[in-house]
Amino acid sequence: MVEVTIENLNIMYGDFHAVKDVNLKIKDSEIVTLLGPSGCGKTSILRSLAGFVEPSSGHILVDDEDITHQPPQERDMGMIFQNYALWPHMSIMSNVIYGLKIRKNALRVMKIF
Amino acid sequence: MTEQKLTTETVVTRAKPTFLKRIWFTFKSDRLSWSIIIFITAFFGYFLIAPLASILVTAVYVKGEFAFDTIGAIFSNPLFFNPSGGEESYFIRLDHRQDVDVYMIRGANLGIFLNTLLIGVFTTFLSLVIGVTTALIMARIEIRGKTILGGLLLIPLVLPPFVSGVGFMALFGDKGLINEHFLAPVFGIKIILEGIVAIIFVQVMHYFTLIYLNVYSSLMNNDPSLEESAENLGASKLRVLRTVTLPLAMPGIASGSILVFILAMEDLGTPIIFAGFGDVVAKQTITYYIAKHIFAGSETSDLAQESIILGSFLLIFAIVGFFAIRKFVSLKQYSMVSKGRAGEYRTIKPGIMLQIGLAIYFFVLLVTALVPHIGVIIASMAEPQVFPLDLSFENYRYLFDADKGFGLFVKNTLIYSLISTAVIMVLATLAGYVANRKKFKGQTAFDTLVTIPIAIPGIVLGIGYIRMFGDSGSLTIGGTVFREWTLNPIIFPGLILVISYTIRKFPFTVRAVYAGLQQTDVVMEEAAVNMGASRIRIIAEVVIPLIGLNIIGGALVSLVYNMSEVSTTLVLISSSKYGTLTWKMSEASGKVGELAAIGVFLMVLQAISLLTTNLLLKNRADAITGI
Amino acid sequence: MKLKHLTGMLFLLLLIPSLNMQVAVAEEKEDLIPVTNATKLAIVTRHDSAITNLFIAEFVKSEYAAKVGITSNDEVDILPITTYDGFSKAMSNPLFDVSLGWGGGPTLFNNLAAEGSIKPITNTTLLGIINGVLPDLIAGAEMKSYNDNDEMMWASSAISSFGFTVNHNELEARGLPVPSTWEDLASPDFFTSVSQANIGMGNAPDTTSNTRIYQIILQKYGWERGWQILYNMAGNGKIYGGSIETRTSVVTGETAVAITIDFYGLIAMTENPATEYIVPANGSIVNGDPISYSKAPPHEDAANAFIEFIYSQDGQALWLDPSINRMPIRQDAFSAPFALKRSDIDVIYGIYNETLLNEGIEFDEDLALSLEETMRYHFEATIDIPHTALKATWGDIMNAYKGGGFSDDRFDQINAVFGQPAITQEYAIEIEERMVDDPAFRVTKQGEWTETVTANFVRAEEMISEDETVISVSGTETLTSLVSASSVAPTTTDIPLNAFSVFVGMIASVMIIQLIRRKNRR
Repeated sequence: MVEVTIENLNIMYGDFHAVKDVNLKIKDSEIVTLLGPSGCGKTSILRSLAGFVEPSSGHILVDDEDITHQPPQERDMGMIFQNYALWPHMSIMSNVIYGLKIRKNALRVMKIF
Repeated sequence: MTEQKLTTETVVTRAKPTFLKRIWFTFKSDRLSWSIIIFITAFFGYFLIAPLASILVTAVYVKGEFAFDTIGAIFSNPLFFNPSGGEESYFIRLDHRQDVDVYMIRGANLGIFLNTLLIGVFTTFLSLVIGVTTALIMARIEIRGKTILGGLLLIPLVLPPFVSGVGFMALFGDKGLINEHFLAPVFGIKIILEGIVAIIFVQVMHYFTLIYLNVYSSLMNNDPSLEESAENLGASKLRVLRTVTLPLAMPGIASGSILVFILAMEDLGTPIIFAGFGDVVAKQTITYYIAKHIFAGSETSDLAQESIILGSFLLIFAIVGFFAIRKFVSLKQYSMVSKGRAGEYRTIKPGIMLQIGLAIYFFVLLVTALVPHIGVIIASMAEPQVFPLDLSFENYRYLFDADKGFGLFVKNTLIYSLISTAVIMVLATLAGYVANRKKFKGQTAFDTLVTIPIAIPGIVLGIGYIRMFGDSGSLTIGGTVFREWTLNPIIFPGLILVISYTIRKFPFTVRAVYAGLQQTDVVMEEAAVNMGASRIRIIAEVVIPLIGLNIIGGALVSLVYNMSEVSTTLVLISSSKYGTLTWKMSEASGKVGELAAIGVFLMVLQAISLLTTNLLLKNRADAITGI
Repeated sequence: MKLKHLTGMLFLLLLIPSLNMQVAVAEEKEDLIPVTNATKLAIVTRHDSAITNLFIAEFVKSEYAAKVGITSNDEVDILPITTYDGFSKAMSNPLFDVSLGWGGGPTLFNNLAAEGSIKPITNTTLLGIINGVLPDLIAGAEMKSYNDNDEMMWASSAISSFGFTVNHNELEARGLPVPSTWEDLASPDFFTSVSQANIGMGNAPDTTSNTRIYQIILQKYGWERGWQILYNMAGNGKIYGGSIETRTSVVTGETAVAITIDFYGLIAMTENPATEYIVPANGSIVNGDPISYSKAPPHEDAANAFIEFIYSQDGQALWLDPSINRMPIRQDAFSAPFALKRSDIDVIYGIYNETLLNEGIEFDEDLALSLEETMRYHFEATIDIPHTALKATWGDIMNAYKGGGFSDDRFDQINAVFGQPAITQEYAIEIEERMVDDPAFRVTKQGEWTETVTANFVRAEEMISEDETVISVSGTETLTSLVSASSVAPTTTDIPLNAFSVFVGMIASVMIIQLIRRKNRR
């Protein structure tokens, strides 16, 4: 059971107020789609969830844990990037098992394949 | 339904056009581009390939027969090749003088060939370490005053030749500030850098900037999402650095380091400094030896065979290195492909410990790198004994004193540099455009041709010109001799010098043009083609406005390097009437302080140009390196 | 379209060099009509712009120039050329339009005369003027040169002497005596320590003036003793590059004495008042500064006017300009108005008189010429290249000797081995031509000579600690590492690190890393 809560999220890029007082609750197993025209803040919200953007105010909670300022490495969020972000200097296998290697599960997975 | 009548038609087969006709059609389809290609190829062929080829040929084929005995003689002479070192090759030697213990750090002396090779390797290695570290810091850490820092980091590139040794000696020499006034009175020791260690030290401080620029550009132009993706998967900052950032920057790192390798080996200015101060090992480098042994005897016109052979080896090393770069640069393509989210990188905000560490790092780095510059400035304002410090601007009067003839050297420097830069601007833009945009057989070869001059040792090219044009005459029409229209450097070096500058600094502008074209979508040109514009119109009205800043930036870089050119200038100019500022500084027939003043003047000119270029090119400032 | 024309023009530009090639061929076959421009006199010279600017400016203002219709600086063309190659071509090729050759030393002009690039001076009026003020000899040195038909080939308009410049402050600080002869410089008294250079010497190939000085030493003391003195001096000092670096070394105080030609010494004196130029008694020669016609002077009248000018009192005084500092040949130049403008004119006059009074040594110009190249290459091979070993050995000898390690006789024996040149004078003359023409021979010989003297150094080291009765002559021993297990502790210690193995190690590690990385990628 995982719940994600976004409370009063504000994101500013310099003087530009990109995301203003956003509140969102995502329940367990729910699929949420953010729709909107270019530049309305969808990517900013996603990136703040993943930890790549510091909100200027507001909170992001996973269950009851406030992860607003947690570094991206430590968050349990998997992000798929808009442009795939495939590493061109690594083989396909290396791309796939990158995260697994960090968790030292790589060998086990490779054996399966 | 109407019945369709089937008719047989006679199929007219056209005769396949002849070979010549096909060439003509290809040419006609894009006259401008082909004219450019043909002209540039001919120009480079005549003024680059031919002289170098004549050197390579002469190395083994003299007076009508193959002659390998000189090569054999060279390798049996320990002056040239001495892998075991011998007595002269100590790493550190301690000498007990009456009142001080002197540590002389030499490194090694393994003969002319290996000395040069060692210099290349160690300079590259150390420049790599410093350059990559600095680039990583500048690209990924938030620092206050980054713009100023970025500007300061360019200053090492504007080191004037020859007089920089004065600065080095004034600070690190036996009677310099550090030894005489600090180490000796406080610790009773002196530390003296000699031989290849001294050369490597000065070179690293000069060349690390090239690697820094290449790597910085690489880091700033990579797709941020590649690093973010790794972080998202849980990679620590260090892991990201190791597995994503550095590997992706590898093309920049590799091309930068090979460039430094070549430049370090073909550097003439630095060995001359130390050799002039009597350093035995500095004299035993390839470039210095060639420079001092161009002619077989002091009163003869024959070229010295051993210099030709040495030059050929240097040339081969450089060309091999260059092609190694090409391999990596073509790999550079992959880092440009995925341009997803255009955005700034997240920079690390340094904590207080890191801030202190960074401050120390940059302080030490900049002070050491700028020591020669400071030394030159001091030397220009003080008596040669330097201490007690008695500063005055006396020597600068030399610059403004019409009688001293300084104005002539400024005039010559500016004329040669500006004319060749103007020529470069036009030709390199056209050549760069054609080489980048037009797909044709031999595109890679053409691209190689216009960028390889960066790897060609100037001194070898100079000798090549002497060989090819040393006996030619002036343009004669009817009975009138136009003395200045000649390629013979002895009659009038101006024309051949401008040509040599043009060829040698061509790659910088070409690279800048490439950089600009890479940022400009082909779509813009395609749109123009779609509307019926001719190639000329496209270039003039679409391309040049879009990459104009790049062209100017690249031209400025070429200009900067032209003004401080040493190797071909020394070899081709034998008369002070046509001398440049660098020529005057090498002739050194005046007071040291006056030469230092000239050096400062040159430094200022170059600094202005480089800083302007940096502003114009911003993240693509790696064009300054020309690779 | 404009660009089309541009391309066309660029093509044309390319044609010009190809035209040149044809012109070069054509010009060999026929006499070219000389340049039809405003030049009324062209001079090729090795003098720097300080000299040429002043002399031309004053010449143009003088009556001599007016007499031949020269009224502006633009009408006199100066070709300052430093290489022999260029100078020779300028003198002999009519394309250059040159009438006079000026400055560069007797050797240069003797070579030019030998190859037929100089037309003799036969004009009786001119000869009268020259001979009226210029004696045949000054301080025993020839001021004029004649060919086999007794025709004058060149004459000198200024003189130089050769000596050394001392820095009195440094001499005092280092406890060295003020030298007055070359032998003083070679003596053990002039040694202080291995890492310190007391004498600045120029490297023979780089500097004509220093080479001249070495020739003087070799002729004054004879080939064998001369080379020994040079080795001893090198042991006490350091080999710099050209004359300017050598001079700078004494000005800044890096050395206490520098080998210099007189005008560099005088310049040093203006840069650092603690320095002084000294002409070694009976140890110098006077060199004339030659002027001559080219092979076929196109403007002979103007050339004659210029020659008259530089032999006039006012013309001669110009040599005393503070940026030039050379000695005129006419004594009355010192009382010309131009000269009197100078505050230290008396000092210069004093040095001038010393120069004249100095009985120069007997200098055989032909002998010097007959082994000039070999001498240069020998200097480079036996002094410049092995200089570290030379200095280390000399240092050990000095420290042992001064520490009372052996007697004076023994010192002479050791020095005989240490200071022995690799070749004899006869051999040097014999191979002179081959040294220039045969590069493989040249390279091989230089390598051999370096090995020979290095073996001498090793032998001399051994002799320090040997029994005095053992005398041996250096031979074919190959170089071994110098570790003297002697009663005298070596003053230098080495911290060893074989750089070559480091180098190999680095390459190997880089390659291994690359291989590992490649494996990981797959």
